[in-house]
Amino acid sequence: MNIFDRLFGQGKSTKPYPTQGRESSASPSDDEGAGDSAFEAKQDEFLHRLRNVLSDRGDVISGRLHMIGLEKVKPSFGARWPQVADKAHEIAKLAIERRLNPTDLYTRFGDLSYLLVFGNLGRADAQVKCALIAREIAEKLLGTQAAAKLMQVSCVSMKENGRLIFEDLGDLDALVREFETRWAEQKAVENDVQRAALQWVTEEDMERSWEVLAKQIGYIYRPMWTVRSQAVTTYHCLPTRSGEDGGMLVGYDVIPRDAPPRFIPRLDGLLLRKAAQELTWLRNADKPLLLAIPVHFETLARTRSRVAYINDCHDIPEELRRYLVLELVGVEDGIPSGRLMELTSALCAECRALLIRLPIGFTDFDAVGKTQATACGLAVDEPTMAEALLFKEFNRFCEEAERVHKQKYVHGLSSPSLLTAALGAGFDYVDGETVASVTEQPEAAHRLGLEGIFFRPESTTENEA
Amino acid sequence: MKRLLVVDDDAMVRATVRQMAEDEGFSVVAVTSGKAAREACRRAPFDVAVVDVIMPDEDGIRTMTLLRREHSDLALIGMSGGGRTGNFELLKLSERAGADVLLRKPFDHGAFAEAVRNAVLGHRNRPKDTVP
Repeated sequence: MNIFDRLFGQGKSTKPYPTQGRESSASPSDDEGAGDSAFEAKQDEFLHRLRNVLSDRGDVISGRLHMIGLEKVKPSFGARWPQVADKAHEIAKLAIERRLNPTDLYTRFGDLSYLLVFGNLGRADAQVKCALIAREIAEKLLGTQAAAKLMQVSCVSMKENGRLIFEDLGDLDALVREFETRWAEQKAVENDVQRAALQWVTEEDMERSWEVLAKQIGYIYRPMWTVRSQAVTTYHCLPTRSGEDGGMLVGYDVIPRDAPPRFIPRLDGLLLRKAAQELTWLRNADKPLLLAIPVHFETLARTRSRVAYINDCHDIPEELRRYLVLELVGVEDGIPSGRLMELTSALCAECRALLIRLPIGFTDFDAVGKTQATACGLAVDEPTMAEALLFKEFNRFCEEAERVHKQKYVHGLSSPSLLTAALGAGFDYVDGETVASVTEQPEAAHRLGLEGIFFRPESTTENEA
Repeated sequence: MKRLLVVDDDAMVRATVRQMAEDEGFSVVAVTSGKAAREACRRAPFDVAVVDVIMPDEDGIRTMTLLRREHSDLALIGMSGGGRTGNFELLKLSERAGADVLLRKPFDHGAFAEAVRNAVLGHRNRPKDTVP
């Protein structure tokens, strides 16, 4: 899910308000304040068109009308502009139409501008949506989001005398960043409210149920294989618990579905303490090994639990933290990049390396690229797609991760065929039953050759021919 | 007429190998998976099997291991492009799985013909006790 869908829901390809051919060459913003007759004529023409646009929408209020201008984009094309102008407008129109909802309207204005009216957005949201559309147009026209600096976005309001005021929105990226942060905070509050509504336990009940749950939690260690060095140097510590049906629950599944949300940071705290114990044991046993534990996005999303977690990290001696790897999980596609950077930078200072686990189909790799994380990865423990499709996803994922200069890992390879695909795709670290079995204790780092993996006795046993 | 089996999940590779093998005088059967390959070999014997290494559901290394066990007379060619990154270490594993010859993708007609000749020849000379 991209930022548009995340912030505003999916726009529909609605039938646009029909454009009415080319307009006069200057946009009103060029002439604001001028008093000559040419400007008056342009403004009259604009007002006439605006009335046409709004003829069936009497509820339009100040702040919903915006203008996107391409004036500063035009010089980038130099003398080629006359040849590319039609194509550029086609691109701009498509980008706008794609993002507007049925209640929104737009029209071409002048040679280089578009007017947009948002039916159901407040001023701030409309500004951000306009900024996002402008950024998208810039990216499509010039190949980079950075080109958004060349886009002009203005909020249009009308004076009592009918004259129009064009207020330039300035730095579009800053506008979007500010909105992302606001959105993330709002979302966290909404989640809290929803969860609170579902809670039926008292504070005392909750404490008691956590203590009961914590006593049921055990740990397993999943060896991660480093492809280049053909060695196991990292073990992932995972919480486990017996489920009601006798099966083993692993990872965050150990928390019952109806448990209060604060159990997640509690579990992360528990894992951190376990990691500290194991790292101490490994040091005393003179077994240099990296130990990885997950930390959930939910734990970091709230200031209180984040601060508590970071403080807990601080409590681990630095010589042990040199062997601690943190894996951020629960990151969703569309997470504001500023938010991801903020949360990951807080973690990076506390560990040897930070990994970010991403959902299958994740697209916003630019956001990941901006973080200090060492690697990003996938988990395919419970694949929801056919292997042939996973193969394609592996290739796409590695390509994107390499583009943003991140190492790649994949958890939970359950078959040799997935392993061959993962190695072919270029993952740097892999784990799963087909690579090496989980253990009850982290073992010493050791070499493990490809032959040792592919020709383990159990992997060549013929049970399915 | 000698019979050749090509095993690859990629339709274009299957078509290419089929054309090259037919030009070399083989009767060709093309299948998309290791399981289908084993079933085809049980139905009627083949002289040569060309098996891709990276395939969904059952990789070529496993396929070759199982074909070698069941059909000791079959000349095996392990074939791979090494995936997106050109990881040919996987192709080398084919030897351990019983392949007589390794064939790197992409290949031309000459390389393919040579691989088939070497596989048949190599397999004839292969001591039976080296079969895993």
